[in-house]
Amino acid sequence: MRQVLVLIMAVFLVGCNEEAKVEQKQVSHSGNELAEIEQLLIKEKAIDKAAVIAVEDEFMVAIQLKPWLNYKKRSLESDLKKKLEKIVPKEKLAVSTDFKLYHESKKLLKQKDAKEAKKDLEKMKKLMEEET
Amino acid sequence: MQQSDYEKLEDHFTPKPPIFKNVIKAFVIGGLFSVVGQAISIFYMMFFPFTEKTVGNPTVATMIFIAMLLTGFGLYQKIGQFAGAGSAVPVTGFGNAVISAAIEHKTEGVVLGVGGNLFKLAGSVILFGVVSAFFVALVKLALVSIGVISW
Repeated sequence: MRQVLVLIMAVFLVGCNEEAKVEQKQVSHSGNELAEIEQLLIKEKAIDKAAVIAVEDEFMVAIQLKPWLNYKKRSLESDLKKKLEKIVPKEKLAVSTDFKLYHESKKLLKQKDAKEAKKDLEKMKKLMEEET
Repeated sequence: MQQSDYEKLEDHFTPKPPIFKNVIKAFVIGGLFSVVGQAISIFYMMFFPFTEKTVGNPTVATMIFIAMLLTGFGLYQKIGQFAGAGSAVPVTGFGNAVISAAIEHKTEGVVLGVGGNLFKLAGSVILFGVVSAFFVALVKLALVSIGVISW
């Protein structure tokens, strides 16, 4: 019984490993939009984690919602998009709640080469448009 | 003895199925299948260019394939005996239905036996799936053209 308790505790404690809620990176981009976006995202209660990337003048905002809110994904995504469009013009902004896009953004956070980053961003945008 | 009398007698002697226990079993095993499915879809998203939108198809195909293999090795029947509806209702039940029909009719030959009976059970799944998808699409088209929802 005690072993089971220890196991359960371990599982719960692993869940508590604190990571920054919003991570951001800019590649050959100047301007303070990123900080603004970060502030906005931190205030959002529905967001579990987010990665924000700016490559040149294009923005990618990849979000993971809190688990129970996945049912309201679409409406939350469009709401957030409207809020973000006040900071960044619509054409340059991509917002996604998709796990794949979040995973790719996390990889992109570590990308140092500007050209590669640009390529990766283009790939991600193409992925976003894919239909079943 | 009247038929109704006989039915009463039969009811009296038939053991009551442990419904609650069966429901719990089906829930747990069906849930485990879903966990495996989720793991597969996360695998596809991490290592292949699939998004949450597009990952459904390869995941379903993989799950059906695994169920087909398990059926061929005779393992799925054991799971089915234990879990009941928990193993029949998810998409894996489809793979099981196809392969078990194929195994059953193997002795009748490849073309008329296996070929003719492969979709004996699963055929109705495909038929009603396609038909209901068609009607759901019609309803959605109507709602979109009225302007209630968007694609």
